[in-house]
Amino acid sequence: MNELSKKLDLKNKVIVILSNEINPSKVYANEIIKSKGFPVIIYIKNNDKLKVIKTIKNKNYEILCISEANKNNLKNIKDKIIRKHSKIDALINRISIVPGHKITKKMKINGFLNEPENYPIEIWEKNIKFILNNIFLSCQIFGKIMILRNKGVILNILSSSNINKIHNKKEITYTPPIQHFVAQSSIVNFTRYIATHWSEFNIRANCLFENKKNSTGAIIFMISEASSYMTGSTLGQ
Amino acid sequence: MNKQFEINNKVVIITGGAGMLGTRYANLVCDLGGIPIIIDIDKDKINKVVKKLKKKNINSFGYSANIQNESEIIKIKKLIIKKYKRIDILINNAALTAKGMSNKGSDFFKALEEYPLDLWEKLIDVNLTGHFICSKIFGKNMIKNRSGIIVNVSSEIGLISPDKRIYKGIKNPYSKGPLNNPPPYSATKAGLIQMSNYLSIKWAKYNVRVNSFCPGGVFDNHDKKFVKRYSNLVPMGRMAFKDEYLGPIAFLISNASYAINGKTLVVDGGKTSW
Repeated sequence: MNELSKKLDLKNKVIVILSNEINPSKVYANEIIKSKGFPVIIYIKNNDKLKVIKTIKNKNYEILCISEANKNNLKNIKDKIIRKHSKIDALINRISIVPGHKITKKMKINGFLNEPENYPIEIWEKNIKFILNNIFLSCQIFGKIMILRNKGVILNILSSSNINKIHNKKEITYTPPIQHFVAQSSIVNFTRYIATHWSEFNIRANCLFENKKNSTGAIIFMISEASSYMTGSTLGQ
Repeated sequence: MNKQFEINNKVVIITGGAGMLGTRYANLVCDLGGIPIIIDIDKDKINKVVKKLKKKNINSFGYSANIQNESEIIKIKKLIIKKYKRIDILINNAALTAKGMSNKGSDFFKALEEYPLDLWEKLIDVNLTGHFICSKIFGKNMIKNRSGIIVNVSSEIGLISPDKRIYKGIKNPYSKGPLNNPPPYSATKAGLIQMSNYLSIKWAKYNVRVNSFCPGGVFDNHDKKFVKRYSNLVPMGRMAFKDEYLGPIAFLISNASYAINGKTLVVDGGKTSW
């Protein structure tokens, strides 16, 4: 095995993926498995009926479903992961206000695509809190484990895609609303904050702007030792 | 190894390929399955590096040239095409250093207010114009093939200004005069980032990707006082190890980064984050 192969190897590494989108999470998980890592997906299902953590056992990894990423749910999940694996090596956060970049008929979108001058404050507040609180709590709760181990990698993935909406059977592409961009910039700087604040604990933190094309190579690079001197950076902006 | 990082049989030109990091990139290219072609000013060093690469059964080759001399680069391109038929990847890694200067850089580290214009121009010739010439000449073949990758090795100093306090009272190892980050260095490294952005947009239609790489300082037996001061500016609290840029280069020259174009990869231990 050459020098780079060793650096890219994720053997026995436990990688937590927190997202409200299941399909990209599965793509990441499968790529992590190819690099011999062990992915655990935490899927925020946004389903009020889901009162407890539901575990879906996949052939190669576990998917833990939760209704929302509140403090209790994330702490319970953290305990569950630690009981089973005793560590968390890397954390990938990927939170989007429009899962799948598609607005469906089921979604209540009154005012969601409005221009800034007419934007409803309720939707702004709901979205900003959803994205930033989830990222904050996830980093705080899983980061504590990394601090205890004096080692860890955090990767916050940001979506740079547009939003699509079906109207009269035609797909129309929209620029995401203002809070999407505001939240992304906040995450970029929050990630820099983590990078500088937790560097003493040997924790690296970076951001990746993902587009619709395959970005699994970038993810493997950024969560592995291949990027060992990279922290506080944003790739793809 | 993850298949996305393989570059099997790709012809990779590395300028400054016989230097401290260039040699490592050449070995990396071999490990990834590619064929490294070295361009460097130092003929003896080229011969040594190529000899070692050939021991790995790699059909590597080296050419001695000044990259700011367009006619020399055109000649080399013709030779490469004759021998290998194509050019797939270009790593613009060469940079003028005090070490490589005939007078051992007696003026290289002078302060801005005393900096000689001819030396300013010389750095621009190599660090900026040289990369422009290589991108132009080798890029033409990539355009023709509708495929190519260019990586411009810039620096964290291309993003921010150097902190002159870390050099105070430290002598440079060449002329034993004061140590400094030369004024044209950050200007040329910043220019290189913008050149990447420009080319990435112009050549995207030809399937040629162009990105910049901004590494932080690499430990190379520097003065202890300097290392301590530099490390204090870095959240990770240290300079980079020599092998820590292999991953970023492998990522940028392989399919692992195929959705990345016109971007700047900053790998500096967090130095530009605070």
